[in-house]
Amino acid sequence: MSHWQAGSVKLQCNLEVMIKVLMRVKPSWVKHIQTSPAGNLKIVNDHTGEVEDGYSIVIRHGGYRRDGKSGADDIKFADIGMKYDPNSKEWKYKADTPYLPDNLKKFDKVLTQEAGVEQAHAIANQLGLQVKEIRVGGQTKVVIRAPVSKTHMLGV
Amino acid sequence: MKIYKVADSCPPGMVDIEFTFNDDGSATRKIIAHGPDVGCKKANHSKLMNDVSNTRVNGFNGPLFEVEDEGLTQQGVAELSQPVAPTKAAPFSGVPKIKAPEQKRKLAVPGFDV
Repeated sequence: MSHWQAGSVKLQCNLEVMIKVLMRVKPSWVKHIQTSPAGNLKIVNDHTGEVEDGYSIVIRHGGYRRDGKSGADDIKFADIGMKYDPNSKEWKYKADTPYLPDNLKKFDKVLTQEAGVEQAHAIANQLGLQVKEIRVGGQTKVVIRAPVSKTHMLGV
Repeated sequence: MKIYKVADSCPPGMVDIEFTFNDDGSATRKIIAHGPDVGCKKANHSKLMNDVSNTRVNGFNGPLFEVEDEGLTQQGVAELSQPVAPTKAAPFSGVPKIKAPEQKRKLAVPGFDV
């Protein structure tokens, strides 16, 4: 039985950053993501027929859709909807997580991990430093090569 | 964002700050100083690590994630000169290994309000 599950993740980043994070989670979703800064997007669950309004990010599910639109093949039955809650400073989402691929079932953890990777890259980019990324299994290392300038010497 | 290929050997006066992000949402960071670099011996690595970690990045309004410090790792020259990566690096004998106290801290990276 397919049902949306509500979740949240404490990530204080804006819409543009969250899109980059989602692109890191699954690059192929790029064709199926809709965004609305005003937060007036609807998500649909084609298994239960439910529709919900008020989201700023929607990742459309694949397979059979009543609206005939295309969607991500690895998201079954129900769209993923996301919106930022400025009061709790969390990104809230609804997703049919039991039907997501195994590596995405812990959706909040995946978002936290990829947001960290994105942030580390952004820091390196901001500072103009070299960076490399190594992914092994469920672990991602981001290595930033930084100069030890005089300001970082002991006793200075 | 262009991802550079960072050379295996680190030039003098440079260190690598390694962030590790795990699929359970946890994160660690450590500094790797390569070789018998005098500059690295005299460096305040904690300050450098904090200055890099706390850099303000547009679009982020921290704290974003918790990160655990793993301190400083000194990699020896012998390891870097090997044509094939050895399984375990011999510790560099000239510099004592510095171990930072284990602590959890927030990375405060304020951006603009969302």
